[in-house]
Amino acid sequence: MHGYGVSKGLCYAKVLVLNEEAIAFPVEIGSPAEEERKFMDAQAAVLEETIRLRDKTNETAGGNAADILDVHCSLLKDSGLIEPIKEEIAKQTGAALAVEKVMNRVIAQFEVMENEYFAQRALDMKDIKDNLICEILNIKKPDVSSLPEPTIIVGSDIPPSTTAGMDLKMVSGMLMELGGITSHTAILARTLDIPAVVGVSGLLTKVKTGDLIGFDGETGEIFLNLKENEIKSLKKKIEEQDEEKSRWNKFSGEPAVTSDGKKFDIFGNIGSPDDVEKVLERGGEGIGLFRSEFLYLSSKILPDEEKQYDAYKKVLEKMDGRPVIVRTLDIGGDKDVPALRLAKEANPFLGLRALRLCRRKEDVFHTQLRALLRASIYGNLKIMFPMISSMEELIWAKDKLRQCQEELQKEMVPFKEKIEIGIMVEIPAVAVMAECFAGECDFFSIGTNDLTQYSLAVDRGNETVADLYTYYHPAVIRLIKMAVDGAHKNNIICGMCGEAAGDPKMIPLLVGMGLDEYSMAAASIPEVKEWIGKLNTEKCKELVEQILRLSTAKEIEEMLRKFYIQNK
Amino acid sequence: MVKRKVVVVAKAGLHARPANLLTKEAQHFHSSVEISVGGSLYNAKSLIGILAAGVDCGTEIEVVCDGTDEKEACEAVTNLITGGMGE
Repeated sequence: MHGYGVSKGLCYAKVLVLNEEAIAFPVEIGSPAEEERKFMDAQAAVLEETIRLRDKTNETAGGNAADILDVHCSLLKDSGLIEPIKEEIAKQTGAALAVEKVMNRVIAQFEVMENEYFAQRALDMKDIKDNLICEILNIKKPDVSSLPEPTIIVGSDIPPSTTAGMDLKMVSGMLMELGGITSHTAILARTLDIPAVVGVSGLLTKVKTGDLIGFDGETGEIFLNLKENEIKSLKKKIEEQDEEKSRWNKFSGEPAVTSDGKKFDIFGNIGSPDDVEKVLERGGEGIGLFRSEFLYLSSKILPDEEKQYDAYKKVLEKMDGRPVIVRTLDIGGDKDVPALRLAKEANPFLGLRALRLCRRKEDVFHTQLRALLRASIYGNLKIMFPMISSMEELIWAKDKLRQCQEELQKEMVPFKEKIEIGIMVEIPAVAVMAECFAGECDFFSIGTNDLTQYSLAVDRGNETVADLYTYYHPAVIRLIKMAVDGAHKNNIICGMCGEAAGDPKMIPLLVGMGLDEYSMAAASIPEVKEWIGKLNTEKCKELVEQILRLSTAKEIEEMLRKFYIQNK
Repeated sequence: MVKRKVVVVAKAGLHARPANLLTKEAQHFHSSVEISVGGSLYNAKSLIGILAAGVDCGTEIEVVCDGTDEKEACEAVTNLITGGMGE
């Protein structure tokens, strides 16, 4: 059996099926006045209970999850709902049936809506309807507020009013026959980190209360009738998963603050929208580098504005207001794009690469900038230009961006007015001239991989000179420091998105220099957060002084290694 | 009566949470507050009304207010919409 995995994780536990019995509406009813009284009493009782659950959820799961229940409160008070129900009652309909009739009309109206998000709201209405009817008819629901053992909750729908009252410590997972990825249950499950699969057709006919089942919240696969050895291996996997999670959780939710109270931003690097979850899971506070190349490298034709817009929008939405730094096209060099039919160069890393290529193929750049600007309204977008070596290039790129803004303005297409513009510091010339460049942009991000290769004139892909390639080289360390100092003199932020930013040995040195933002592969985030928490900025500053007195990469690496071992 | 056109910038359109905010704002005023979408009018003081309008991000809607405090109502509601509703 299969569904849509909406909240990752494996689980294995006993099932509790939420009551699904059909409701029998009473034939004998009171006078319209009596029935209206019944309805208003039920409305007040359900509202009171929903308010209680909202406040409780606010404490346990945070504002996002509580918002859902606040919407329910508003709906319960909505004259657009109450008045039609009263009118129905006035036509000699019983209170429960009046609720059923009126709300079914509303539900039907939502179910046919094209936008899936709105269509999903039908489930909210159904939840409210069921609560009102159960209250009017005094029907008891299964108690999920105190579960005696780990349980997988199963239902055709698991409404927010049920999830809010759940004994979450004992909920191993949630399975739903209905629902999509934007249903509240899916959102809540992700927020609370409980595995969940929705849209499992035939679920309720195959699964009964008390059954032992397992499922995978990532793939959506459901495991029934497991054999002894299968159960064993599943349990082992769950144990490993729990261990890893508890390690992440310890640091992922916390900001990276040194022992003397200085906070640093820990971001993740991504190559496609699918990587965002990993960054968030491990506690990334933003995206420090979104390599936009994946759009170009994976297809035979150039991605059009719509395709790019969708990808950027997706990332911005998933990051929900956290900073997202998108690096504009960085191809050429070692990355070929079949669709651009680039000529072979004798010296590709020094040739037509990244922004240099964009200056020759303006239409490609233009398409990307428009897509970025249009997507900007969905979150906190920052745009970063790669391979800048001169002020002229930066000014050219900013000009192009301004032109695109004017164009969109004329077309009345919305975009965010204030977008921070930054550059990659990866060519030594920029590090040397950092103060100048910092006056023309809003942030720096140091790309240590290329900065090393260009400072030391070592091709990082060439094995025969690989031993010379190291960012522990004193010249590279000095260039990094020049970039950070240049940025800070102009009061702009300096980050780093190269390998060095996630290297535990380098981090004390970077903290000592005052580097503001560290962007790395998602997997390194918890470790780096933990490590920064043990550092003291004064001690790190002393380390910088000591390192600057050394003249070889070997000595520097050795000193950094010692510092790491002594302090970790 | 005052009318003003605005483009919805909230990322998921006027879905549950932003619509809830909008309703609460509209309810502060004595005037009637309605939104016009694709030729139909919806009561902005009713959450079901706004949700039923199914407004996606980027859609242009018209805020229509009528009553003693119509100017203030229109101002407040359009500001909320163009501000992205805290999204």
